[in-house]
Amino acid sequence: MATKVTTPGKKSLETTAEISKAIKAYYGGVKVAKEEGKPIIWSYGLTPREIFHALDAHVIYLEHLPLMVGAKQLSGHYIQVAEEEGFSRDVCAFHRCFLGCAVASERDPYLDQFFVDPDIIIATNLPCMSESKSFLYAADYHNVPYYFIDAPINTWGQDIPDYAIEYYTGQLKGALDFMSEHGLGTVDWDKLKEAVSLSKKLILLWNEIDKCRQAVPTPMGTVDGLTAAYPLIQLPGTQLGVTLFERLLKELKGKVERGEGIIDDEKLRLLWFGVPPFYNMGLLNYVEKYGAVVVKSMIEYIAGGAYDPSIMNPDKPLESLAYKALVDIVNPTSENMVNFIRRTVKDFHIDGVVGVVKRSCGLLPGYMRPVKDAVYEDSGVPTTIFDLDGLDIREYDDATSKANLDSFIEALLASKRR
Amino acid sequence: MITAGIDVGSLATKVVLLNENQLMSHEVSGTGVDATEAVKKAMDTALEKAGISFKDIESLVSTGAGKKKVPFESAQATEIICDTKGVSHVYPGVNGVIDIGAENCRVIKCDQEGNIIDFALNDKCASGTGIFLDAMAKALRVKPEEMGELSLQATQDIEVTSMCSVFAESEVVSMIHRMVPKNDILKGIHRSIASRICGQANRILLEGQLVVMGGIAQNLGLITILKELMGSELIVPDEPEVIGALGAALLAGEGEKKK
Amino acid sequence: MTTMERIMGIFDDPEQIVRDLKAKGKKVIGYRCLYVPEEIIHAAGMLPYSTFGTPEPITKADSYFQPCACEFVRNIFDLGLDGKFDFLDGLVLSNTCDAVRHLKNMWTTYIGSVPCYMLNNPQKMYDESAFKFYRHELEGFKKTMEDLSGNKISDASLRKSIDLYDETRRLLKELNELRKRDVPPISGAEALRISMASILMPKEETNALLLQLIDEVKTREIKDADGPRIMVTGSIIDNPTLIELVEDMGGVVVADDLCTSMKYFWYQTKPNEDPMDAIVRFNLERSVCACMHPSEERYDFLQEVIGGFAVDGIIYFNVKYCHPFVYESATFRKKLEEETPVLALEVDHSLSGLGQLKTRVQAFIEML
Repeated sequence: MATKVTTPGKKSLETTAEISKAIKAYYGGVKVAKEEGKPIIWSYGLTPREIFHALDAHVIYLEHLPLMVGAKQLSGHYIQVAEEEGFSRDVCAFHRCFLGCAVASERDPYLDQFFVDPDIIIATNLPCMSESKSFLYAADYHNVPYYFIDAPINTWGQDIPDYAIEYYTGQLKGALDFMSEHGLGTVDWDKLKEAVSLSKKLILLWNEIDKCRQAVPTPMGTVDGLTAAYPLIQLPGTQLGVTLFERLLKELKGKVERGEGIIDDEKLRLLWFGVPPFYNMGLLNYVEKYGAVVVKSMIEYIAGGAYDPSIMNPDKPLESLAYKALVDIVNPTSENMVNFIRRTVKDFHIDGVVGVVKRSCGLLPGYMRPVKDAVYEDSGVPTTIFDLDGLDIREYDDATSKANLDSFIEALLASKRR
Repeated sequence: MITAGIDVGSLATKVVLLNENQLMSHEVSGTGVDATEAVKKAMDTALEKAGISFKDIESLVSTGAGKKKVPFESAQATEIICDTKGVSHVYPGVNGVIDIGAENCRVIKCDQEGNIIDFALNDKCASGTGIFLDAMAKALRVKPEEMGELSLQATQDIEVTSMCSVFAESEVVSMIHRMVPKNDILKGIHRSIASRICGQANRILLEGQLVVMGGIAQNLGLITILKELMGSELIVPDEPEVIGALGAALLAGEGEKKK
Repeated sequence: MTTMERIMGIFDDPEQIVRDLKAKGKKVIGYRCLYVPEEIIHAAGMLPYSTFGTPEPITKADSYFQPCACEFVRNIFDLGLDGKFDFLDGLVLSNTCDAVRHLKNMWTTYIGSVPCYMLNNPQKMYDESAFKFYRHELEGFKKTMEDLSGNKISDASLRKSIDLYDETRRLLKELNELRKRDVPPISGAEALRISMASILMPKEETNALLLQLIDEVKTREIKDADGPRIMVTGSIIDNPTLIELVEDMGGVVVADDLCTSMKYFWYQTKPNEDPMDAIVRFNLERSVCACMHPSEERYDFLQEVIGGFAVDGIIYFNVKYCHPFVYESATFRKKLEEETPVLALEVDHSLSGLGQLKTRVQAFIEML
């Protein structure tokens, strides 16, 4: 039996602590809404958040709740529950965890603060096509209406043809109509436009935050970054998200001006590719003993933080959201992801990429080799790849994970010396 | 300058002493339950062989799973660095290393100058390592050191499909009951391990001239199949288990002095 | 030689067809999955060739795909790296799962010798906006096939190709209907071989052979038909070994839900003045894979087959890391089990660990 040593990640910013509070407040709000009889939606993380604002609906995202459960080291239990329901270990750990939460006969007090049953389920195949059917089980179990939004894959790069935008716009429109028909009220188009306009502000601020993080030494590592990315998932289209990002930006700018890094002597900058261990974020701080910092984690972008803000046009809200979804870097077959990582490695002055493989993931592991080759070819920056399930604590092996990081960093330091 | 390298593996502890990068002495002994004691003992023997005393050592690097148990003041390095260092010192210009130890299997790809290009460690499953072989030896009632030779005398190809050592053991036991010849089963076991190591090597595109080190490198049966599967030229040093300690001692020569 | 023997010969060495045709200057387009309309490739004067896998262990592909990627896809990529598909003039994939999406990326990046095309088929059926989108995609695909072949595709030639393929589907279905008998004339493993050989052959030839075959097997009866009647479902199975395993254990495999077998020929195109629209409707009004929404379509098909073929038990073969099927199996299993016993198994595409599988299949059949 492998040893399981878990430590929480060390955060260094004031604003991220505020964002943590906002996360709890959000889920507390969902619970209250449910008690007041308001409809609750379950959906996947890349369903455009803004369409739910147009209906003033409360949403729980399948990818987000497991992170919170995982951070409390409770994910293993709920994953086990799903496995007992007949879900294979090949099924994404996030989906197993969420489904376990959904069907568990008893929930622990922590989860119970946030968890509410759905009134309607909106599924989609973006970013994970193969996982798009996990909600079917939940829809059967809770006997609630189910709608599927089909997102085409991006075979076009940045130049999305009109007929594809039209298709996805139609899918979003279909989802809105479906929700209206099932008692979620009428669509408030002004609200939708406002939400898109606020989303644009949010992404502009996020881009500036990213610029600050490119500074050497970096004022914010990925332990803070992953919390900071939360407004991108849950708060697009809200004033709260914008306010939090404004504060974060101010804090970061101050740090950059003063030359404050998150560690004293920054020798190596790492990019994390794949799901970090949410139950043991301390692993990301572990590398600090070598003077290494995990500057950025690619998963911050799963929330949809990597697109050109100019595509957001409040006068064409659904079309803007369609465009945003289709050019999303995790939408496979386009070279967007590989090119994006190439740019990130350059812009963030990355010395090495840590690629971790969650065995139950159908999406990210497929990018590992192309990213590794592209980054090496571009800038000679090496990538190490090893198995690490960021959510299923039962799979975690502290010694092996650290041995991989030790070896990689020693090799990086040796090559820096020559 | 006299330097020392200590490699504390889970089964064996290795010490190498160098003077100006030339070998003075080396010692291999069992790690046992008390790694600290084992290191002391191996060091004493190595010092005696070299005819020097501990205070003559100017710099010391330790490596291996038990490196933290080393009772002397020393720098630490990972096996990846030490393996590569040792191998490229003895065999300059090789393309990579396969290190098969008791609990670990590492593959390393390096360039002509001995710089690491890529590496892969085995996952927590032990099925490509020495412990797996030991378990199979026990199930078949043969001595671990004889397994390789016996497997070369096999007359037919048997497939051992279970990768997990627990399932593999029950699969092997059922073969024994079916009166499958021991040598054939042994060949099947070796093939199963070799294909696992080969898969690990494939992940980093390891090819060309490679050095196989670690205690299991002495198993000729495994090396034979590995050669066949990988299609690479495999070199096995005379004493494959001490290469890591040698690398550590060489690293010690590059680093700062201990006092 | 009987027609059955001829077809088995084609199954054993399918590339002989390609060699003969290539020698005559015909272009061959590899494709993966039933959502690629063979009719369009055929109408352009080329041979659509289904790329099936082999049960060989994966070697080179393991340094590109992580070991948790679908083994079938890794197998295809491995064969591609090895140059085994170099005879193809192109490879067409369709949007069915993340593994195939990555296959497109990997193929384009690392295998330069054969151009790869991704057909962006929607995963939503019976949806007007999906029909419209798919029509655009198919026009692009048609153009690509025209450019590749140098031949224009007219409505008339496409109509002709559709009719030809419909005839293949009709004949295979007619043959398959015979399996409804108390004692079927062909075994499950034979049925899979016939179907896969028919998929691989030029349809002009297939149709002639199938006509003879139906006549030939009409009076045939398989031995050992006393066991329970089994339906096999699950991910792609392109090797009869698993079916043989079930039959060796005493099961009588009478039907399946496989894209290599009954799903290939169960449906016909519907009459439509516009042949391109006929294909649009054909692909978006039938469910041949667990990737399609809504799932009810596939569930209804399973029910229809269970009733029609008097199925006593269902064996669900989930190929490791085939995510779409794994999800549906968890959802469907409970519902199916209310009326018909289900055995759900995880299998390697390379068919390792058959010993353990055998024991479980045997226990299931004994229970029935």
